[in-house]
Amino acid sequence: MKSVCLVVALAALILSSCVSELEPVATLNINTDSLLAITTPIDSSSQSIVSGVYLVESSGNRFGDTVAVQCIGSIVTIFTVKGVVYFAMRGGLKGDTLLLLGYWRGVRGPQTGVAKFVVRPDEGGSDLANGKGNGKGLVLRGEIDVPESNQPEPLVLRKIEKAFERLRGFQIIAHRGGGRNSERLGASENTIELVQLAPFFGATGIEIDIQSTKDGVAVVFHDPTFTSRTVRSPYLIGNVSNYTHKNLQTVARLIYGERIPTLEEVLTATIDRTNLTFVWLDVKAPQLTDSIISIQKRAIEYARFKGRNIQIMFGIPDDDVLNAYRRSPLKGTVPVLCELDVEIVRELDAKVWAPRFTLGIQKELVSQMQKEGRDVYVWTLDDPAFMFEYLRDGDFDGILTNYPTLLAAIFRTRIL
Amino acid sequence: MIESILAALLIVSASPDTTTIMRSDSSLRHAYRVEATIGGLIQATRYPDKPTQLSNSNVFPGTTFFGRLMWHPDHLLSVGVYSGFVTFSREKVTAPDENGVRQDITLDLTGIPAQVVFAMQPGNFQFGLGLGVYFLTSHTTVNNAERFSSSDYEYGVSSWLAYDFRLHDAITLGPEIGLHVLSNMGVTCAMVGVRFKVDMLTY
Repeated sequence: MKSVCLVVALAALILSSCVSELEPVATLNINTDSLLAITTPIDSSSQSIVSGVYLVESSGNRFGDTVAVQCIGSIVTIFTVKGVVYFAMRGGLKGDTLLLLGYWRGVRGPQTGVAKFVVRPDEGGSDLANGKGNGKGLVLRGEIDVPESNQPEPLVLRKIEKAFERLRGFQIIAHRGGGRNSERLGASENTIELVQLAPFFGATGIEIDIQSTKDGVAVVFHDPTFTSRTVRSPYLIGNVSNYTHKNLQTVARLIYGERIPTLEEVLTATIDRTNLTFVWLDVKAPQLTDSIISIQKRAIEYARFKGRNIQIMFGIPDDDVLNAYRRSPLKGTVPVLCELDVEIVRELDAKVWAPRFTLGIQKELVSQMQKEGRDVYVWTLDDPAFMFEYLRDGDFDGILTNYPTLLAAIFRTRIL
Repeated sequence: MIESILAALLIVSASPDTTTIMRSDSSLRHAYRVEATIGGLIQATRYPDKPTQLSNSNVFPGTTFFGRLMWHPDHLLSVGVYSGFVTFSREKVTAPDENGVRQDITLDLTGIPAQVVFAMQPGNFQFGLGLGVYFLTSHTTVNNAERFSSSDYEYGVSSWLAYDFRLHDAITLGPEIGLHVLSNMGVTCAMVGVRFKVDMLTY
């Protein structure tokens, strides 16, 4: 009898042992309408005064010693290296006082909370109202809700210098439209919803993945197959290319409930609803090469029509896509990003060379490519130690990462 | 993890089947048996969420028809293989197409389990656990005309508890309840039904 009980207990253990639930991220109820109704949005000169590197003067070192503050339109964002946290806040000036309300969120865990900041008139608010000065010494005085306490925690930031900028420019490119599902960013990877959040994560560009449906529609999806990692519906199993676009529209929902978007929808939304300046099309369906290039050309024309400064690159990650591109009658009509050997990059006259980070910093080759008029982006750096090393010792024009918040914090504060 | 649990299961089950030795039932005169079990069960399948945004529920009726072949030595533990056909769910939804025209879409998910099973049989009871894969197929039919399917496999476990009434020296009939758990997909099925067991070979 004893052994029977033991076996029953073991069976119960096996049945329950395969499920690993992630901690839920709290839903915040933040209404900025009343704040926006009584404040005036800060203009571009005030935005540059606010942006910069700030010293953390309180908060028990939760966010490290320095953080980067950046204005993305009227939204004020903060990026931290320690904890890998971003803030996104709306608000504006009421007289000589800047008022901000939003949230903070750790991208590597469930930590989140409401954040409120104020810049008093004598601590930089008057300079913001007048659009004068460089903002050095400006104090962002705030409080944040923290999960371990019912009391808000004070957070005081003092601007010490301008944010670092690279003369040639620098792209912080968010993988899969902003980051992986596993980071629980509040939106599924490769969706319009996530792409709209990407600038708040610190990204200046995105990489998106393109698969083909059964009827040859280019959709934005990373994996060739559906799994519980990416979709919620049990009816979606096996290859993406087994399903028609119409069927996907009807039944397919991603893990946060979004539809699987088409490439055209994502590019249009990126142009219309974000300030991102770079899109890397990671082509995983070589049979759609002509179709993808046509969509890319239309998007480039649309961006030009809208006056948007944005580069959209046809990515060539492997020999299958390379051969399809070589055979395409549309070859040479769109800018190309090539991940392959530099000789192929030259043959295609690719605008961007994108070597894998495991190939090393390759300083001479990178420099040579840049002299030839190409940008060089390295992929995919998620480890802070590698980010430090590649920023300090390399001279890349951009980095692809799943943690744009971390890269933005390291790059802009330049704490190398 | 699972391997170590199974090893523990084997160790604790290695004691002789004293129940069998003490009984005078003619089918249990021999120490080793090969048993075949077939059964049919109705089930309730629970998905973690509604499977589509058009679905009304996340719980669906389904069926399982199975076959199990077990080798039962002179111990409480028996081992074998398990397969069959599982209909996890079948539903019909209505959605407009891109032109706004109503279309009826039938969706179903079926599976063929292929598992190694371990069971214990104290008295007339039997309970067991299966570990392996389910070969899944999703069918979609639009307006009873356009039909396509997609397949994949998923790891899963099954378990059951049954009671056998002896009908004949070598044949038993009895109720069985069971579970399918596909934890990666968050799918759980609870089943109830009947089964026939035949002692195919004794030696």
